[in-house]
Amino acid sequence: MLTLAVAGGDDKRERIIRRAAKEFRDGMYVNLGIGMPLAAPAFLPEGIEVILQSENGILGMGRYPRPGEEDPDLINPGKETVTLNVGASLFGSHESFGMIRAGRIDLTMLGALQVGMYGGMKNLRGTSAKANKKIDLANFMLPGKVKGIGGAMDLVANPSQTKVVITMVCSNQPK
Amino acid sequence: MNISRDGDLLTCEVQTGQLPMKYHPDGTVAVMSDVKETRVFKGKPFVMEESIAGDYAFVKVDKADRLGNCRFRKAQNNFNEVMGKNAQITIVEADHIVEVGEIAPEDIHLQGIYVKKVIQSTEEKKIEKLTFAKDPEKLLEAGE
Repeated sequence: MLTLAVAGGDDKRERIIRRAAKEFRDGMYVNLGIGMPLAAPAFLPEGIEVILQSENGILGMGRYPRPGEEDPDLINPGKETVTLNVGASLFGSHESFGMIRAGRIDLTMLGALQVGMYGGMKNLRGTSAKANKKIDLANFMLPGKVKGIGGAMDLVANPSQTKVVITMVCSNQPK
Repeated sequence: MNISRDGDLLTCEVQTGQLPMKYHPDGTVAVMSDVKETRVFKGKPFVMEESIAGDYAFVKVDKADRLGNCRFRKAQNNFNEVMGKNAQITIVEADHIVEVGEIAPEDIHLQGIYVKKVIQSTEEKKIEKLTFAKDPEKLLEAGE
């Protein structure tokens, strides 16, 4: 598991996202989480193509649509409208989690709320492990604003086959 | 099983498979579900989950014919197919009801054998989070 974290505000996000994008290798099947990971493909190195998997049932997810291209039947797990790349395939969520659990996804990048399950990560800089434990657990299971683990639990279950990259900007403020 | 109260937040470890079933008025847990059975397969521990025995499934599809054969459009499948196959009684809401034979056999995603009723959808299809492509610079500000 690779954790990329820096203490500080929004001006640090670009460093994290750019560094995260360096983990992509040509031809990888990649699952990106909400938050910084979704910005990473914009910084793909020259000549590197990755195939994005969306756990609601898309392989070959494309960029966000331009006005007029949007389709209510084509969204990502964050309910945002997306497009399909040439060569994309579509299937049900059961198939999607089947391929995830089988370790077929080469790299998963978790951000924002999905980092929540890792209460007490040891290799973060800038905040104490104890402070992180409170923040991390609050992020994914907050009464009144429960988002849930979502697909994160399945995505990180096969670390030998699916590389896990976590992007987060640490703060001492519990959210 | 580890539950802790942290200000207004309630945290608990999830790996036992337990979830709060009922809360006290003050937010503390009144009843937890039972601990789930675990078993080791090929050296790796797994939590046993029983399959869901659905009574009814309400499924949304793009096209359905009179036999209940259904086709999904784009990313419409989600859990519709698998829930449709799971429940005892599956009721399909279709954007388009078509003649038998109009959906090519290999394009049928949810077979009619699983479907009890087909109803014409009358709701307008909406977009919850209309998201357009942005400059890479603007993506950095995007946040959650």
